Amino acid sequence: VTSPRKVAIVGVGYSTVGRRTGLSLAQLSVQASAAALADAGLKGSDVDGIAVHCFPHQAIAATLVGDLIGAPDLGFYAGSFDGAAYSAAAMHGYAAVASGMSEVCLTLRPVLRDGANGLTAGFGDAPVPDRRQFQMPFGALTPVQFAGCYMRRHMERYGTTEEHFGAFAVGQREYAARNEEALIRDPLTLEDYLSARYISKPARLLDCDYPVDSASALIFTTEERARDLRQRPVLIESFASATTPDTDMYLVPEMTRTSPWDAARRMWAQTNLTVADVDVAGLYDGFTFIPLQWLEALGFCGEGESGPFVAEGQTRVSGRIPTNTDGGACNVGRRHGANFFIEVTRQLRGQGGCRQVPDAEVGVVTNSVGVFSACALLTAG
Amino acid sequence: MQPPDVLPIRPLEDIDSAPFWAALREHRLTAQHCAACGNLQYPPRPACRRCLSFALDQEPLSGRGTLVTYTVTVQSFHRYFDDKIPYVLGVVALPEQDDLRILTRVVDVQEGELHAGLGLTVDFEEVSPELTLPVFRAATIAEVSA
Repeated sequence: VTSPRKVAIVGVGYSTVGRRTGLSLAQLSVQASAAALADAGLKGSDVDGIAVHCFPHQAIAATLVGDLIGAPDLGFYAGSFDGAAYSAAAMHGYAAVASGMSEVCLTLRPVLRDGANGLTAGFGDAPVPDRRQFQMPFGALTPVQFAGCYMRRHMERYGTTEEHFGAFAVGQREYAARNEEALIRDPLTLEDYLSARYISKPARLLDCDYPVDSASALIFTTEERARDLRQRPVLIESFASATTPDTDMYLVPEMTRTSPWDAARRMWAQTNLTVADVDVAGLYDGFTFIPLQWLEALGFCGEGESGPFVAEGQTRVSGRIPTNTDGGACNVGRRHGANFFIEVTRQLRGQGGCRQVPDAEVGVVTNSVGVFSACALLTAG
Repeated sequence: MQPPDVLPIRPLEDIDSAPFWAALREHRLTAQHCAACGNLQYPPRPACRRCLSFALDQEPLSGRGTLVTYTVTVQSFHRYFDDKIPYVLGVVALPEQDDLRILTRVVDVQEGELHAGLGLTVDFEEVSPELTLPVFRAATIAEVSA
């Protein structure tokens, strides 16, 4: 039995990003892929593996992406609409390179902005199928409603407050102000947060990520191949995914302790590094409660203690663990998980510009929460 | 009131879910019960997820429950709910089995009275001739001690 090959991230890139770009999924996908390939010093013809993650109602096939970028022959391809956002594509890309099925694997997350009614709008008056029939007739129509339930559960179980969630929003906005690629950069105070309108109490508008048209791409290859490419390699030290017994976000056994605990346990089991070694974090912020759950699951603070930890400023510029140094998806827009991998990669290369975490050598990235999630430990190669 | 052309959001009943929705039209809250191992499960599935037996029937539940968590939705995301906001979505633990929960609406409880552990009892909301939803309201003292 040969041991899995070490996987490196060698190229990262984004498409044009905005609220209404007028671009198609194909255009966004090719823009991001071309940017990541150029970053790595590779061509489309070098790609022999592609993994794409999409929403089911806005999908593009991995093999079509191969056609569009001029990949002559794919030894590996995977299209996914299931699982923990971009990390589902990363999981496929990681497995493809580690196993030897691909030498140069493009991982891609294109996403089109949905309207205010998002995922529910498409149904019109048609009856709703599958598991959604046990949610939507009751009025559970959009993810911010489960966010409200998760926040309330943490508040009732641990005494967490709305100000604690607000402190996270305020802290990562400081980083957004330093990031020219962030779409929202105005200073944010706790008072601003508390005066933002509720959508589904206690979840407010400023607890939500910012929906945009975007595509994000990362190129994975072997550690050996990475040495010959343009950028300082960033190595995937360990990578883990996890799920819960129920795939319904509302019916998980305990909302304050969901799949991130299992993903984190698996991730730490694959490495000799510990939480004390981590210099920078990219923690998925589809809603502000999610990074708080990850801070606990990864061990940056004790279970139930993430609220005070964040309120003390421990995730901010001079805190224990600088977190979401690009501003997070609340401010750079919904890249659906990929921006955490890209930003931490840039930090470990030393390309963080005026938001660079000094001497960053080890970073942790996470995607999603609840029924499925994933995390990875990245190191400067 | 909504204009008559505004339809509620209806379930697309399937081979697994039809018995659940049919029982609700008769004002019975049920869960799937496995004849082989006794497991109860909701939402409905093709087979028992504990033993993979396909011998499932619908078992009536007591209608009691305990609030686990909740959210007060103040924005409407479908025109049917335009005149129904704010409303309370709640996760309710059902006493018949440890892992048995239902996502539902909690009705007739003031926002300040909502908290984890609140004792609830089922009620049946006849949305249309085809659709009855199980919603939960606060249990009375008599119901809690019964």
